[in-house]
Amino acid sequence: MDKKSSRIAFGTMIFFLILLIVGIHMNDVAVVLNKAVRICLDCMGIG
Amino acid sequence: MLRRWIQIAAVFLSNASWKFPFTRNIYQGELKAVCTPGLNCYSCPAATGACPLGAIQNFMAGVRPSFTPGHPHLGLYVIGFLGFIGSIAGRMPCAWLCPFGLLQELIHKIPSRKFAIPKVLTYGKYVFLALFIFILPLMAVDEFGYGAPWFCKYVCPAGTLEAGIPLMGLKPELREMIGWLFYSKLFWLGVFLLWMVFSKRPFCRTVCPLGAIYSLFNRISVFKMVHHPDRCTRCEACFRDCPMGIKFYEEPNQTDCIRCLKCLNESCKFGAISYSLEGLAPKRTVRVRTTE
Repeated sequence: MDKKSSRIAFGTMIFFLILLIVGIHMNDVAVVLNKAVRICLDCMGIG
Repeated sequence: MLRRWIQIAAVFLSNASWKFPFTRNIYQGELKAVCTPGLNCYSCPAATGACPLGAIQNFMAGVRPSFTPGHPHLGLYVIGFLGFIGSIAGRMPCAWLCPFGLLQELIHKIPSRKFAIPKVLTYGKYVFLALFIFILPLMAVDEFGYGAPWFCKYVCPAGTLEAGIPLMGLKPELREMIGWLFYSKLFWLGVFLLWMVFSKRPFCRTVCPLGAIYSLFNRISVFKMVHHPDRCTRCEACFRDCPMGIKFYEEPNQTDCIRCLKCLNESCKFGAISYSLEGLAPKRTVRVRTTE
C-alpha cells in the first residue's frame, strides 16, 4: 500500500475521532441517552 | 462459522436486557448512551444501546431549537462514532455486527428460487440517507422548529419488528394508538421479509442508510480487501457466494462489499483474495486448494 492511501486512511480515522471527542465534549451523549431511554413512538409507527 | 458466532454475540450484546417481561418497559440504563455499530432499534425492549440512525435523525430534528439556548447539538458524537468505525473497517459492521443483517442472511436460507437485485436499486440507500436521515428531519419542521425522524417513522422495518410488535404486546394501551402509519410500516416489514427469502440482503443493498454511511469509507478505510489478478481465473466462485452479489475481481473495495470474507475463506481456491491493513505490510493469504 502506498504512503498516500495510508495517510488518507489514518487522517480520516483521526478526523472522525476528533469529531467524536468534540461531540462528547458538547454533551451529545446526554442527548442520545435522553432519547434512547424513552419509548420512541415514531420508531413503532404510532408517533 | 466464526462470523456467525460473532453475529449472534452481537445480537445478544445489542439486546442484553431481558428484564422487560417483568418491568414491561424498555431498558433505561446508562449504556443506552452508547451507539451500537449495527441497525438495532433503541426502543426494542431488550436493547442496551442506542441506534445510531435514530440518534442522528433526532439530532437533525432538534438542531434548530438547540441553537436558541446557545448549546447547539449537531450530533458530532454519533457522526464521529460512525466515521471512526467506517474509517477503520468500512462496511464490515454490516457483515459481522448488524442484527438486521443476520436476520436477512438466515431468512435467505429458506429454499426458493433466488433473484438478483438490479444494480440501479442499490443507489436507493443513498437517497434514503440524504432525504430521510438529514434533509427531511432538518427541513420539515413544525411551528416550534422541531423536525421528525423520518426514516424511523415511515420506513424502518427494524423498528417495527424489534420495537413496534413487541411493545404492542407489552403495553396494551399503545394498541389504542394504532393507525394507518403502523399498518403501512407493517406492510413494508412484510415486503422486506418476503424479499429476503428471494434475494440476498435486500434491505442492506437498497435502503439501509447505515450501510450507505459505512460504504462511503470502503475505498479509504484502514482495512482493505486485496485482489491478486495474477492468480485470479475469473471463475466467479466469489460472485456466486457473495451475500451482496458483487464481482470482487472487478473492484475489490467497491461500496457494497461488507467484508464478510466469505470469498476469501470459502470461495476462492486460487489465493487471489486477501486483505491488508493500511500502514502495515499487506497480508498475502494464499490458499491454493487443488481440486481433483
